[in-house]
Amino acid sequence: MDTRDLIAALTKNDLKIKRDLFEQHYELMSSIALRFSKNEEQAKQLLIDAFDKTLNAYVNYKGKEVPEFAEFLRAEFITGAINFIKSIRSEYYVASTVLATSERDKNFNLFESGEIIDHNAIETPVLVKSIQELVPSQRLVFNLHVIDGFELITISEMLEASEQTVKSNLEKARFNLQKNIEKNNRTVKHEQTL
Amino acid sequence: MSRHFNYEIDERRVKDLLQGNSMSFSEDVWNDFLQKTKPIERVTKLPSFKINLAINRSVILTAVFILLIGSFTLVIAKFVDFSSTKSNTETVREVKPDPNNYKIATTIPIKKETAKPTATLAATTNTLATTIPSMALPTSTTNYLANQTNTYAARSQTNSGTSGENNNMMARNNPDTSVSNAGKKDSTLTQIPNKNQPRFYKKKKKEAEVLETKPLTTELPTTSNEEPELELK
Repeated sequence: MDTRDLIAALTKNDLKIKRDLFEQHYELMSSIALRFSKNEEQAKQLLIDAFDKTLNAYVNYKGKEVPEFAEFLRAEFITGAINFIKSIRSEYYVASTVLATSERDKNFNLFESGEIIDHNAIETPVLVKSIQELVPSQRLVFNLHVIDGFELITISEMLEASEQTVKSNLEKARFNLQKNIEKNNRTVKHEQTL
Repeated sequence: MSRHFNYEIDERRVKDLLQGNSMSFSEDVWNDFLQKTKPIERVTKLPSFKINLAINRSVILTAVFILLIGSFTLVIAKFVDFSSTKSNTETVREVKPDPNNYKIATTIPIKKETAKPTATLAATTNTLATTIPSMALPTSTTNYLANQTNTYAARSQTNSGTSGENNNMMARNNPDTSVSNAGKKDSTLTQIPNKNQPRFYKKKKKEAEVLETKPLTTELPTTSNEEPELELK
C-alpha cells in the first residue's frame, strides 16, 4: 500500500489496516517493549502506548517525503518507549527504595559459590530477566547503546541528560547486568534441580 | 563498583538474543489497544506567530516611570500659555527720518548770540527726548541718535574754523546731511551731557584713618610677683 493511501486509511480510522500493521510489526515492537520494560505486563502497556503514538506521528508527519512505515516505526517506537518509561518514572522511586538489612545479609562477593559461569551460554529468559531488573535509567542506556546502537551523545540528547551521566549509567548497567545474570542463572539452576 | 570487576558478557550475543526475543501475538493485546487508544486525528495547525512578552518587574517599573514622566510633563504644559507667544513677537518698525522734524530746525532764526543756541539746542534735545518716547522708538534708534550727537560733538571740537550755529544744528538734527564745520568750537554742545548713556565716576581713594595711641598708665600684673605657685598634690 502506498504511504498516502495508508495515511488516508489511518486518518479514517480503518481498523482493518490498523490491525494489519499491528500484527505485521508485533514481533519487533514486543522485542523492544520487553527489554525496555521491567516485566511482561508493563511491556504490553508500553507496546500499546508506543504504537498509538507512532501511528499518530506517522499520520501527522510533516516531512517532504513520507518514509515507509517499517522504517518510521523503529525509530518512533523507541522514542515512544523512552517517553513511556519517563512518564512512569515516579513509581520507580518507591520500587528502588533500599531496605536496611543487617551486615550478615549483605554479600557483595559474586563468586562466593565458586561456580564458574559461562556468559556465552546464557539463556534468553535469564538475560531478559536480568535486563528487566536493572534500574530504568541504566536499562534505557544499555538498550539504546548496546542493542540499538545509538551513540552516547545521541542518547544524552534523547534522555535529556549529560554525556557523563550516560557513561556512568552504562558502566553501572554493565556491572549490574553481569551481577543479575549470575544471580538469575544460579536461581534458574536451583529451580531446575528442585 | 569493585576494582576487580571483569566484564565478561558478550554484547553481540546479548544483542542477537534480545532482538530475537518477542512475545506471541494475542487478541487481548489488540483489544486493549482498541480500548485504550482513541481514533487518530490529523492535526492541521495554522502557523502561529507567538509573541513572547516577558512582563517582569523591570518592564513594569520602566512603564510606570514613563507614564509618570509623561503625565508630569502634561501637567506642566498646561501651565504654559502657548498662545501668548504670538503677541510677544514685536514687529520691528523701521524708523525713517521724518522731514517734518527738520522743519523746526530749519525755521530756527539765526542769531549771533552765544548763549541762545544752547537754549535752542537744549530745546531741540528736549523735543527729541519728548518725541522719541511718543514715537515709541526702539532702543537701537535712540542709541543711534545719541551716537550721532556724540560724533558731532567730537567733530566740532576738532574743527577750529568758525561756522554758524545753524549749520551745527542742521548737522545735529539731520545726520544724513554732511555739513562741513569750519567755524568756532562749539563749547555748548560739548557741555551737554548725554542722558542716554550711563555715567561712570571714578571712586576717590579714602585715606586711612590714623588713630591716636595712648601710653599705659598702670602696669599689668605679672605672675612672678603676685601669684603664688600652685602646689602639686
